[in-house]
Amino acid sequence: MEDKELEVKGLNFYYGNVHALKDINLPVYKNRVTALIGPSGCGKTTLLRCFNRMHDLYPGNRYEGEIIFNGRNILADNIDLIDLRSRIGMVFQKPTPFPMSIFDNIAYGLKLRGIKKRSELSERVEKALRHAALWDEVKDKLNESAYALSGGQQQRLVIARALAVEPEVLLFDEPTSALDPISTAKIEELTVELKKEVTIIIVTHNMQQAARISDWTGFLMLGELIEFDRTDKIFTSPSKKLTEDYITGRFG
Amino acid sequence: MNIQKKRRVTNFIALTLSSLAALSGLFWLVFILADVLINGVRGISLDLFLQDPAPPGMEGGGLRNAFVGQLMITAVATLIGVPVGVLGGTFLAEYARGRKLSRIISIVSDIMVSVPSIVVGTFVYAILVKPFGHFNGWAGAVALAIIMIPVVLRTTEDMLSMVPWSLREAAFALGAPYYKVIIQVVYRGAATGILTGVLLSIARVAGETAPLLFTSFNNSFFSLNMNEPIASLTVTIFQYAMGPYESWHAQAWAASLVITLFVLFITVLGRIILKLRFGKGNGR
Amino acid sequence: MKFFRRNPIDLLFSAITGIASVSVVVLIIGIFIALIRESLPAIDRFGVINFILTVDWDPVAEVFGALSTLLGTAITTALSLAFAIPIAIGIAIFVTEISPNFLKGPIGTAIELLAAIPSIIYGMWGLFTLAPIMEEYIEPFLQSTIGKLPLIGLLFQGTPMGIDLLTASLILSIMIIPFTASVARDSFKLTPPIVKESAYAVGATKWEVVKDVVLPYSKLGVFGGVVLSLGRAIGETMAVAFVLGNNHEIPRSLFDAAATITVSLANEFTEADTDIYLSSLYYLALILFVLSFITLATAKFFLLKAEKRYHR
Repeated sequence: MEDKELEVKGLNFYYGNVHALKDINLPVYKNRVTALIGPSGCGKTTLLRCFNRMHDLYPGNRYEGEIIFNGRNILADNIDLIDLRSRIGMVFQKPTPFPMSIFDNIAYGLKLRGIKKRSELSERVEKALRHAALWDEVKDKLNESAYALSGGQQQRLVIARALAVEPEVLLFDEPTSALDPISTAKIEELTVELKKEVTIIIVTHNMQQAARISDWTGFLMLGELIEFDRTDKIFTSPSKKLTEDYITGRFG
Repeated sequence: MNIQKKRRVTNFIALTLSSLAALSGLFWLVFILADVLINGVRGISLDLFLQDPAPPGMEGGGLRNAFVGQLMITAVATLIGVPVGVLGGTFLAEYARGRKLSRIISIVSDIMVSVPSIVVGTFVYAILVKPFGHFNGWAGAVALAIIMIPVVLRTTEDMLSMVPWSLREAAFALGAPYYKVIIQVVYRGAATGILTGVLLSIARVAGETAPLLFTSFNNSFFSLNMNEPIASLTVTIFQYAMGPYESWHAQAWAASLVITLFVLFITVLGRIILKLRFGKGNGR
Repeated sequence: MKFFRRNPIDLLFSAITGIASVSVVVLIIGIFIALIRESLPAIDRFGVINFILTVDWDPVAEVFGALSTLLGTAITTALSLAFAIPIAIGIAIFVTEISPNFLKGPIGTAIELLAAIPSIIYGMWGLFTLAPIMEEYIEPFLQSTIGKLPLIGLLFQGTPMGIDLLTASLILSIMIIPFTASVARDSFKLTPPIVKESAYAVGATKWEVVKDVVLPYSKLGVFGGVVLSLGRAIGETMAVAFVLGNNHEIPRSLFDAAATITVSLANEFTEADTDIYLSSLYYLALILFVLSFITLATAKFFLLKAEKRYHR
């Protein structure tokens, strides 16, 4: 039996009157990669954005149910979102470097947490960049603008930025959809490498990617979780007809 | 954990200050509008519109001369400014589309929109008042037209650019020459937008005072002769407000109210038209 | 691009539209030439540096210098920007980041209406409503508080009359807040939501997102907006003409009446009884025109640069 990092229990989510997620129940295992797949508009990104309460940035959104993290329901009203988001990091579809230097991008989250000592910052920036397999490429230009990097490098920079604050969970929202195949391969390798230290949930529209890098896979359709199982099981002998149709490309 | 508390407090203070700033913006608007309304309503009467000014210091009288003068100056300014602006914008968006010349004229117009209007007044004085030896209504109208042209020109350019190129191609495909395409197809597609631009430019010049001070000047008597100095509401407000008589102040407030209502009405109308059109465009 | 010059009517139409659009350039060059021509007698008589550095403005002795008016323009402009910029940026932050959706429309409309009110209305309101309030309450209050401080207190000496630099700057700032705020708001909106989200995703507070992501991202545009407002403030006439007093002396305190270029023009142009007097006023207008042209061109440069950056 594996340890659960997160557990989704009876989650419903509404954008205004639109019922976007319907009674989702799902475990997320510690130090594993969990992939969420499904056709466009199935709610996989919506589900991902519940884990760090990204939906709270916009008015009119509503959660029902629970997501248990470290024994607490993170959907509760009294949850400290700033603290939550420093423990559950996120990487987006497109690289999102901040308008500052490479070093400051990585150090940003650390500075927010009150780390001011230059030596400690340098140490942790280097560690994060090494983790993200970017150190060798940028070590000589840490003070240059992050916009000078290539798309693939920017995405690894963003991963390093998320790693720098040592989160317990990382949310990946189609992190390779804007990248070329070589950069994509690097990110995929990195993902597999990173699960030694963090739990990863990845949303992807690319089924091969899910098959290659994830341990568990959830298949969503029209806001419902159709099937959740080990990745090899989902991709070889799914128990539901809908799942089989989707992964064999009969629709979607 | 202290740092977290500090961040939260900073966040709270910064957001509160921003909200207060927004409130203060509203505060000034309400303050000014309420003030103009309260003081202006007292001076509003039928006489204000139907009587000419009483001799200085005497009670009574109205501002018929200024209302009529303002209308004439603004109308002539519109008759000069709108065609020049619309045609100029047409050149930028059509014949010179995508060329460097178009870009330069566009930038110069943007600068021209914000050139101090009093400078325009001194310019028109030099070319249309000094040579003739006296202030005249035409000069005032030209000064306002000069202010209108870049406004209308830029709006027209923007509105024409929003008409999809495929619409023009469809008309070309029928063998129409470019000028017919522009007049019969492109203008129709952009008509509401251009009309709004014209409305907003009228609102802009209707409240202008500085360019009229040394051009159309002022006239205490009723006059329809554009070759002579002609009264305008704004110059009258300036003169009356700075003058010594209570009755002048009351009339200046009343005139201020009329101008404010007129300008705000046109502005709001323009916005509504744009919004309706935009909404429709998006819906389909 | 496509040109259809074969048709004679088309040729004519394109020529007419071409002339109409070039008229803007002709006008701006014409203004420049006319102002230079009219100022020539004064330029001849007073020179350039000398005119700018002379305080005297004496129509009787026919000695004219621009220093007092330039100083008045500089002080009112600087002060009004100092009041307006923080408030305008605050408004922009509120509208883009804080305000609930149902308030965004009304506040946006309010800002637009504030921008549409003619400047003479601000002047009226300033003279009859704001100036008395300043005279009776605000200025005595400032004098009894900040006025007691060393050095900075010197700026608050003299009898509060309400017709002075402080009141004029305040009105001017209320006038330029809408311009600055709407340009700042438009620049803020250009920050991609996904970049803001990723700042939230590392645990930043709303203010930290604004300060570290939105502001740096939009600084070019905001700066352009500030310079644009500077251009407006330099050239604004009627809002200050009522409440500045047109006093050609070097102001010693913010409670002194003063003159700006625009106020001198508005008050004296029609009274100039000698050629050199009128020519000196034209000289002031020329300086104003050059100053505002440079400022507006700079603003445009930054706004275009900002636009280009985002549309890359």
